[in-house]
Amino acid sequence: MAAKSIISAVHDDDLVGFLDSLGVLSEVNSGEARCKFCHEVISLDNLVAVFPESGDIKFVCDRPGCLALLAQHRSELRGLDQPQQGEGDVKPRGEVARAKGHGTCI
Amino acid sequence: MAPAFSHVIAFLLGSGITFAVVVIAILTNPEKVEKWFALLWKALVHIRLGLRFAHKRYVQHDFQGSVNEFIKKHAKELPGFQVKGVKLDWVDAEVKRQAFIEADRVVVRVKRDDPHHETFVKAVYLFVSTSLLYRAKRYISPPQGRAIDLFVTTEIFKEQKPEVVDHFLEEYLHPHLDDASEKVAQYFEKFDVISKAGLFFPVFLQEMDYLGQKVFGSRQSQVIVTEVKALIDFLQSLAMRKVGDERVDLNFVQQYCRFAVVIVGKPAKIIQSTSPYVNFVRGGLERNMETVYLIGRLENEKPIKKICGELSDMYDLVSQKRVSKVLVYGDEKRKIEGFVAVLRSRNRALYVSAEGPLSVSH
Repeated sequence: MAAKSIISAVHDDDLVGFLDSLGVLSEVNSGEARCKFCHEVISLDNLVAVFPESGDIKFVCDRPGCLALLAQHRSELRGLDQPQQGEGDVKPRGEVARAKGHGTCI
Repeated sequence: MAPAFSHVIAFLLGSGITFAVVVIAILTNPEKVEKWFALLWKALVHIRLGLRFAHKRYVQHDFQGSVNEFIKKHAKELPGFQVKGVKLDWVDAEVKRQAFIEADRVVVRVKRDDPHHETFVKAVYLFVSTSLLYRAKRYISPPQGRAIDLFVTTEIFKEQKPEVVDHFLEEYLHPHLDDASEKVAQYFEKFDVISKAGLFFPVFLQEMDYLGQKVFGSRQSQVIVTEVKALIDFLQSLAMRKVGDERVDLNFVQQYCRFAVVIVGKPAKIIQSTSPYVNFVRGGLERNMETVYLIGRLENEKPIKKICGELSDMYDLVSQKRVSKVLVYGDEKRKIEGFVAVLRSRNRALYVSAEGPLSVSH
């Protein structure tokens, strides 16, 4: 197992300062910021997560489905981060028959 | 003076021992200490003392303590977790944009008013999604991966914070965001059946972890998605198998997952000798079988371990654990304590290419 995983969090009381330091507070206050996944307008009320992507700052709204998509999105990126240990081609080779009737219960 | 001196010595010695015991307890159970701190900070939040600071500490210790306790307790059953714990890191106005972009982390917002423990729920869900089976999730379908994350997250909540389970399932299992939601719910229900039979963590997650270790270099493949679906159906059938029913297939041999379940259970056989089981695994299974799961009641723990020892020239014992499971006897279901040992072939395939599997050489 690797080291501990780190989850970053910002407290409500630090939120405005945090967004300001990222340079996106005016974007949120003016209603220009949108949820990365459902494109809902982001406000200080419905903002639930912030993350960087391709040099930009992305926002996630408080719909549970969007958090699920964020989790999936990050999970996929995490997988891509892993070193490639070989270029095993996984092209379909046709159905592999499932062995039947071996009766391992003895 | 002498009695007084001896009292002082006794007091110091006693205090020293007590202190040593406390220190050892803290060092060996840091996650419990986290949870005590969480309670302390929660109390301070309630009396509105140092409100912001206390609330941040409460959230941090509550999250870290709960998740780390679950991971520590179930470390042997969580083959797919690539981390040994979690840490909550606070950010504020001191963070600079460039540093934030380079760190490439999601920042979750912690609300001060949080009646449904939303922060806890979101943080645990994100942690599970990004830490569990991240290799295997490259190859399986998004609904399969999402269902696994939801199920494992729910198991953490059931154990660490049962009061959020209903809210979590209501909000996250049925968000109706896309067409995949229905499939996620279907997989989730199957996982529940598989888990009740004690097969989710020790068999399913184990196979998913092996899948992630084996398949390299390619993105999602329909073959793998189909195979994982077949694996889930296979384990569901096994979970619903009635005791004594020998018609249920106990071998799963496909392109990536190749394993056999051997039920060590018949009293007439196990009382006499373990050799029928040893001989069966040696000669009765397909030669390319990579993993053998020996499953039985807890009272068969010793014979199962003996079987593992006798097969050590062919298989490595990679894990063994006690599990609670529900067995089906006719129309009746009974909860029993069981035991599972996982044997891994020394001649297993490293990965599967278009030309065929490449074996590990020892």
